[in-house]
Amino acid sequence: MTEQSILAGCLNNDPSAQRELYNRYSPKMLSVCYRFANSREDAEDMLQEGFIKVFTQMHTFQNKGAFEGWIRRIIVHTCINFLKKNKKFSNSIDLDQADYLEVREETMPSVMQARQIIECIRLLPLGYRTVLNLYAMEGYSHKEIADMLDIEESTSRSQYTRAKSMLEAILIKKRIIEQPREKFSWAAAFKQ
Amino acid sequence: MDRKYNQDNAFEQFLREELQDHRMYPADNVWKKIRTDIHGNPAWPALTVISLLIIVGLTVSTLLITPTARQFNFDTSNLNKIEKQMVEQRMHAPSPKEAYYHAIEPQHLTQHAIKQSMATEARDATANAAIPTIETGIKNEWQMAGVNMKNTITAQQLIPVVKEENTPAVVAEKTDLETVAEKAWSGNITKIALAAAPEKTPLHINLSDEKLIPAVNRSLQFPITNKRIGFQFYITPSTSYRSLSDAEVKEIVQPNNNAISPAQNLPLALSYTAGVNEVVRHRPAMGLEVGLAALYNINTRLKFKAGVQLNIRQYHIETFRSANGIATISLLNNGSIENLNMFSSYNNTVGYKQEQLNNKSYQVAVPLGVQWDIFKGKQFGISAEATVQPTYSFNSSVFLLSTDYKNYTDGNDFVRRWNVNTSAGIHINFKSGSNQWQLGPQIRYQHLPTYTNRYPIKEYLMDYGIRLAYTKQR
Repeated sequence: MTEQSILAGCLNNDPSAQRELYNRYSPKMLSVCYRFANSREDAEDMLQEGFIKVFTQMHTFQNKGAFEGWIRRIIVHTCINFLKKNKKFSNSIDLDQADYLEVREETMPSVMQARQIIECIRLLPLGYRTVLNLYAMEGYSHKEIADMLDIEESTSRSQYTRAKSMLEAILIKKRIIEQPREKFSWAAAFKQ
Repeated sequence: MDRKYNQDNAFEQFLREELQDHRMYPADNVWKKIRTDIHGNPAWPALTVISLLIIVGLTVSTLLITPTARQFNFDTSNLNKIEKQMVEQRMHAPSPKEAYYHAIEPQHLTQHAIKQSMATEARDATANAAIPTIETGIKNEWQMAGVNMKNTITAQQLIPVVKEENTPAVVAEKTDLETVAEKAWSGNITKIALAAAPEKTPLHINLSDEKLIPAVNRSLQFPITNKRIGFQFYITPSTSYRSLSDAEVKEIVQPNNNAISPAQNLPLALSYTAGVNEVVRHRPAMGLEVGLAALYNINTRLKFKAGVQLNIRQYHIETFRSANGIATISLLNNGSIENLNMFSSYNNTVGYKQEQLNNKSYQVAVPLGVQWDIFKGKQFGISAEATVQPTYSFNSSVFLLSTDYKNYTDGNDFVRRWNVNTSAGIHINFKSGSNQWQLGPQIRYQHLPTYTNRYPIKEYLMDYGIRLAYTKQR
């Protein structure tokens, strides 16, 4: 089935077209949800809510951009709402106190590389992880993130910086990436 | 990767490139929940089957239930021989031509009665006699109907004649047809007319006769006795067990895998020494059997049983929820092995959460068998029953164990749709008038494996239940 025929079928509330659409996009979208969620069950719940929205809001898709991008935006918003609704995302705890939280790296299983990186991301505190996912992976601006999470734009920036450095440290420790070479500085050389 | 990362400001780009194609496969129930949320609960297929059961039951009962002889005023004891002959005649339905001549028969009365009434009619007909042609033959066909109508009027007077003579041999069978025609119409109807008429309107005369001669028809249509027939509704709550056999895994799959070097990454069982029954953790669960059947009394103690029933069978599987992995199913293909890789999020040995799966299937079966009354008291009795049941599995939700015994995955595509079951049971009977209740244990065994022959782990199902049956004897 072509994407157009699937979309037409979904607009007519055809279950087989909806199943086809789900089969086509659910693996990628579950991966997105999993990066936001605390557990796989939560990720599947997010996916479920997201796809229900996709099917019920199908008529609002205006063919202006890629359909996958449209689904992805719905799924991401669903993930954020899910975290807020279930009070798993708490600004006061995560974003302010995340620096003091201990990261339990040893819980990361040894799996494939992409999965390994995702597991590294999931080691971050929820607030860090959410900002990092939204900014680095989904391409939202800090202003948009601030609006979505009901935080200050500056908070989003600072959290992202911390999340990024924490993730770099984990990836280096796990030997997924190498320590970036520092740029040669003549001033530093003279100081020494 | 490292090269990519070490470029300036490439952290986000690095993450996106690494993760943009990452996929995870959701569990089956996610789609089911989405579908349920959007379209509501799908219609339970068993409802269709139950409707079918009711329709079949009603159809069978409508066909078999005919009025009894007691509803008529005839003394059937004197007509036993006639009745038997009529039943035989019905079983050997005449061809159209024969039907025509049977229609000429004046309602299977005596030759004497025929002569009397036919002679009268023949006299009338002679008055209007014309040259016997084909056309007049057709006209005479109407007259023949008229004759029958007249016979109708006199039918009730004629019946005692039947009783008196007590040997009302069916004229058409015993008498030469041509002779009958000649006697009846004495030159009015030619052989040509008789031969032509049945092809034109072979059934017309019969129909008109039946409509116009209800009294005579009653004398003809003696009800086929149905005291031997009974109808039964039964329900059997049961517990479903299964037995697994991994002989083919050990004989065919594992030697093949052993022979191949590990570098080829083919599945190896958890432990070759352990049998499948030691590896899996299955628990029996409640099932149900509901059915309708007709019972035919072969003799006072033995009944033949045929019907249709619905079975729900299930058992539980204890497993673990785990990250998505590959479940390898080794399938037999003419002595060789084909490995099929399927996604699975259920691991048999390790996982982050314990999970219980339901192996459930809905089946429709046609039980054919016998019921034997071992002990028959006035009200209480004991009977045994055994049936063979061709079975169709129409809606299964089953999980298949991978042939390396590591994972469970969706097994619906491998389910054998047609199967054969047998059941046996012993019951205590309680009889009150034409109603009978039965209660007793029953065992049901599935003879062919649940899955197709290609899947090397053979599973056989057994149900142990308590059967409650209600029989209405007619």
